[in-house]
Amino acid sequence: MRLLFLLLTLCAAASAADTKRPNILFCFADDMGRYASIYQKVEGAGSANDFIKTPNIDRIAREGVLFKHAHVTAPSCTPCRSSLLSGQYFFRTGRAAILQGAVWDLKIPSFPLLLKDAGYHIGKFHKVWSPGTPADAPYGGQEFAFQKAGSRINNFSEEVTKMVAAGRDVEAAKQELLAEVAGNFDAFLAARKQGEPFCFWYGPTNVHRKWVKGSAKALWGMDPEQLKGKMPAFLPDVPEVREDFADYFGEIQAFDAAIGVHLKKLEEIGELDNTLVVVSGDHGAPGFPHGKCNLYDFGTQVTLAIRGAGTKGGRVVEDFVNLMDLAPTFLEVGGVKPPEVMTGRSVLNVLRSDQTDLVDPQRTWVVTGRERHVESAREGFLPYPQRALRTKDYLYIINFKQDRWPMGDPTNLTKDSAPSEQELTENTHITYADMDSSPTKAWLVGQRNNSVWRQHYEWAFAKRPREELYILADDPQQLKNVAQDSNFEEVRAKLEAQLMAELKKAKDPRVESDGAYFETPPMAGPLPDDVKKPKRKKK
Amino acid sequence: MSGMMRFTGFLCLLLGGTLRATPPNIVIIMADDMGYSDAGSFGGEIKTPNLDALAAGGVRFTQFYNTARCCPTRAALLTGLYAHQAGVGHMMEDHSAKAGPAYAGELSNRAVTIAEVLRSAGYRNYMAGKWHVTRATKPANDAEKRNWPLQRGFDRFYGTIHGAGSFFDPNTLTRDNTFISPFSDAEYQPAEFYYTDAISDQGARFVREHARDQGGKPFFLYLAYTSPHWPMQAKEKDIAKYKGHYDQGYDPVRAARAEKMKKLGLLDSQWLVTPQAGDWDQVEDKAREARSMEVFAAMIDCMDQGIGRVIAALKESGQYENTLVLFLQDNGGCAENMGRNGPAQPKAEKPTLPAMAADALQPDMIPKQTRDGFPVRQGSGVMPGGADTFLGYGEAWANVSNTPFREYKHWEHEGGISTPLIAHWAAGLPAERRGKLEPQTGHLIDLMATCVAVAGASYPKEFSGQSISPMEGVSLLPAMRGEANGVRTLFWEHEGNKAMRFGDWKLVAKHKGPWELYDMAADRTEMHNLAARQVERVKEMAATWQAWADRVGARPWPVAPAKKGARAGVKIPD
Repeated sequence: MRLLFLLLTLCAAASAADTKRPNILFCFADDMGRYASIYQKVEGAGSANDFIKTPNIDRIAREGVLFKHAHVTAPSCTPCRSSLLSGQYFFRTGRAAILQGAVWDLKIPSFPLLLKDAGYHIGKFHKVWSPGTPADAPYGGQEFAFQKAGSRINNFSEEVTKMVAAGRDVEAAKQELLAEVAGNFDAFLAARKQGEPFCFWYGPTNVHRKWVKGSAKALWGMDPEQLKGKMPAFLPDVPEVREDFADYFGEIQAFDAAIGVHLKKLEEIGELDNTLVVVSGDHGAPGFPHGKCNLYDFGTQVTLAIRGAGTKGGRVVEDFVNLMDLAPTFLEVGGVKPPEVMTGRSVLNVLRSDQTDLVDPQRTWVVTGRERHVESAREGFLPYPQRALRTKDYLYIINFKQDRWPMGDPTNLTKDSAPSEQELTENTHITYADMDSSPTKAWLVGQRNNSVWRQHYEWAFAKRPREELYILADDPQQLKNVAQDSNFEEVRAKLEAQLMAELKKAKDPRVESDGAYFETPPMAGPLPDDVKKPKRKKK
Repeated sequence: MSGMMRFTGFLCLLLGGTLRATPPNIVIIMADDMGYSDAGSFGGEIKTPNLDALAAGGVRFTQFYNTARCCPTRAALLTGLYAHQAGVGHMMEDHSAKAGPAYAGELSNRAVTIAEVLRSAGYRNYMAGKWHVTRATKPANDAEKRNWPLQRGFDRFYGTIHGAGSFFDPNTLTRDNTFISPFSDAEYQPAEFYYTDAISDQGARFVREHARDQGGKPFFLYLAYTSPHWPMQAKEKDIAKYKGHYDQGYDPVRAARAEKMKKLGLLDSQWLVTPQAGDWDQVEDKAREARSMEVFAAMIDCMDQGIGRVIAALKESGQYENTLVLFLQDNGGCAENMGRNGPAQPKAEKPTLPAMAADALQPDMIPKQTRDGFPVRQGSGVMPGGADTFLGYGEAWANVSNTPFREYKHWEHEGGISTPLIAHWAAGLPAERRGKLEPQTGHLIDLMATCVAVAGASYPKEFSGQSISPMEGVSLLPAMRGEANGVRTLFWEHEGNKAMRFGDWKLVAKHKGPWELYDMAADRTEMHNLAARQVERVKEMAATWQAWADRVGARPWPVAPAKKGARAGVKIPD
């Protein structure tokens, strides 16, 4: 009899749980491309993902869905985030479509504020929407920030290295930073009212440069030499670059550990399965050729793993996802109808399906693009406008102003003279300002007259033709442009038509009046007075 | 039917998703001045069936470390900080005016104890045994007891505030907050009072009373034995078990231990066993020397029996399965020459002094007399064991206790800082880990982090209005489960002896001596000093050691001029 009562009680609890709206935990790494140890399964052995250990991302993917083809709409922090928050292509977000000089228009609906209006307890740690004015505006600014327990995780390798130098155990030092992460999430959960579903954005910046040279080895025991032979072809497979790339992976492992802190807490409070946990990054590797600010896969492809809230786990899918699709996904999970203006499409149908491979037959391509990143990268404060169409078989890119330098002007640089290695490592704006300063950038610039590495240097910095076309079956690394090859003219023409049709349909200002909207102030030209000026190192 | 099945399945999911495992009870048992290989499961011939059973059902850490001395070990264990950070950079003297807060000789208020942290997670906290982290052994008022156990997070306490004393009549014996005499204690009147038994019996009692009165709450029990610290005193029936076992001297015992350690997987065949201290052939009074080790063995034997009684209480009350039991030792075997030399008097036939009243408090570490009026004797020729003797067992036996390592209590070589750590938790550790050796390094500072992790507690940034130093250690739970815990960096400083461990490398120096460097994977017995060959590594590690020392407030030794014969007072700074 008591058992029956217990069962009935549980039944009541179960039906209450049924109607409970799921929580959302979004773990979004700055500057993180498609990296997680579980991607080895997709790529096969021998790739750089052989080198990394991300048990928590792997767990989310294993118990949820792993996306092979997730791309950002724009490989630059602010426009990527503008797109993700608005559920629209970056080029539809007005002054939020660029990096330096971005301004958020509060008339654009954003998923966090819509969820808040629908009764969600929302909160964020650190970076949601920046650089831009006002910072994090699409998330309600700093009203919903939870970082009083500490935010040293944002400078993970710097902070841990400092502690270790003062005689702290490296594991204990890591734990201390992770305890701050836990403290912030605890504070967020403690502020929740009884029964409220929540939406939390964990947005650390540790994967963004700078990180401490040699930290992968010192803090994680990762030997950069193990990357030998696993580097993408456009990265010079030399000790300096391997170490730099390894250090990037160390920061990703720290991001993974922080995800683990959140998962543990959700498990402890019994909310893990009722939480949509999403892990991703805002674009590819910074300060490396073909990465951040490039429309190649190395720049736009990102990790995407999703678990919980009815997701049918254990699947890897071929469906193409653009990160603007996350806003309508989050809204649908929260029972809010996505506004018509959103160009993204919810992936909930993919998550709740039990099929593998291609679940949604319409998800076979994405469009990506780019306007201005660093405002002063080119003379006249001009953008490097590009749009691309990525399908399963092809990558097609249009560079609208092919006479401009893709990574910015080669300032302070001639055949015979160059900034010092230290300047190239530390000051992004010294030359090619659209590529972050880094040991890799310094190394490449140093090799500009060396015929052995000339090709790598050009892959990184040289001007590009108006059109690029890569046949992925033959050229997965996207190095042999066949746009001018008559054998592929039919393919090129078809891709061009498809891309242009999508841009026109989405009302991309770039394809109206020769892109005048993006070529004139306030989208081009010196930073206007209504935006916060970035802090810059003086030459 | 299928609907019902689906419902049941859903129910399981629901339960699996919402139920949390009950936090385990935690029992930390610590022995005093016991060597690395004294326990049977670590190579010893002394009978420790109860510890061996814990070892067989649990995990044995083979490279676990203490601080080489009583007070700093207890401070680090209780707080999860290096002893200097906890205010116990040396022992219980106040040198803070000259040497800073690291040498206050009191638990710092910038530190929290495990009991204080676990209390916030709903635990009840009990302690039986030796405290020794306060100078307040003669408190003038309650305010001076601010660092006594009940004032630092424990709900019940039975034991001694001071660090050493007679097993038959200990000084500073305390129940909760009040000094008591063992002979007028209404709550505990055994046929023969022996402190080790008293600690065990109170521990078992706390376990039973907890199950009876506090069922449902988890508990923490800190069982800090004074066995087998000097004086060599034991019950005759326990000594009798070891009669004649040590008559052949040091070498055969040491050789047998080394052999057994090899079989157990504790001694790598490429490590050289250190040379024996002391030449048995040169020992004049072989009978006393053998008797010293018999008594020492009996002291450990009695402690093991008592641990058995505590385990039995856990089992009886159904709490054993979900209890994390940890056993360790506070430092290596002790070579101090307590009472062994000098002139001695023979035992008188009749008491020569007035008897002491049952309720009188015996005030001294070395009592002047027994309760029935016999003077307490020290010096050559005195046979250890009884209540009227007060002797150590000497360097040579300490060397046996520390087989196969170099040095002793006080030093940072492996003989000083190595301790077994046995971890047993039937409900929490995978079955395949039972009986396994775990070679990953660990240190006392990890016990706080471990307790925080298993209890699901949170370590505070502030406590009682004071900001608290962050934990120095990491949870041992992954290592207990056989998972990697990363490359550790650990540090030591005691009386100018210093050391650092980074991965397999160990940098170590004696006070005023040069740095020595050892590769612990190839040479844990520290027989091949690599310092001259790896100058850069030594330089680098030494710089990190210095940064640590500066950070925790460790100062060059001596931090203050030695006071001849002076005992630490009880004046406590604000």
